[in-house]
Amino acid sequence: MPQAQKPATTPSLPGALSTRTDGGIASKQAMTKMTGMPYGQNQDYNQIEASAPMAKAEQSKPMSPTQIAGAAQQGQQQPQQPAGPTGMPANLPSLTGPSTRPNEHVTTPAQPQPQVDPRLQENADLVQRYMPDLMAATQIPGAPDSYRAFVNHLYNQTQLMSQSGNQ
Amino acid sequence: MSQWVAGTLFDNIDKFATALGYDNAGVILPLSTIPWQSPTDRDAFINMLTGQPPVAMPDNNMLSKISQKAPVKK
Repeated sequence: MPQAQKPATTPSLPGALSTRTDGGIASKQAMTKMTGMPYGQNQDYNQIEASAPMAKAEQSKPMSPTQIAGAAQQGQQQPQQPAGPTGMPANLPSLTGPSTRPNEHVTTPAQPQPQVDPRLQENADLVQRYMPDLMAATQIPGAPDSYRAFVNHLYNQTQLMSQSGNQ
Repeated sequence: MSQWVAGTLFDNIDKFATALGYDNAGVILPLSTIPWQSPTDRDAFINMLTGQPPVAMPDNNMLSKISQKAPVKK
């Protein structure tokens, strides 16, 4: 079985740290030595941890008050962003902000939109075209009552549709 | 004005409206414009469509007849 090569040290580090092989302080997280495990298991754990060092997390420096004020000014001067690709408007009200409809209860549903049966709409369009002739035919001597009732029904339906369309 | 004649467009409308229901104007009007060979052919089609022959209509305008026959109070 081939022996693993010994990793290169970091000679630029001073003193005892010059023998570090994990790349130094800046690039890797410090190891946490495992203790308290049964005999022999601490070493196993530490060897496993050492074989896969974690990258060092980027440390954030606290901003000075001057820097904060400058960043705030930059944010105010930024132009309004248009709606993004998700379609979300740029200026959404805050969830915790005051209501834009203070007189409306939160459980009030949205106003129902008038639902028009497409079949009725189609009928109304068709009937509106023929209605003058249909109504004239009711004056023909001998026109059956059923025909007059049908034309009357169509007329009422057309009126209703036009009323609902005007609203 | 001429008399009501069987087999005309308006008679077809009347028969189809009675057979199919007043809410089906979208079907009634196109069916009525078909140049049926005769009222018998049209009625046979309605019979096939609905399973029953078209309802026999009253002779004419019953309301006007009733009003004509209404006794006049003296």
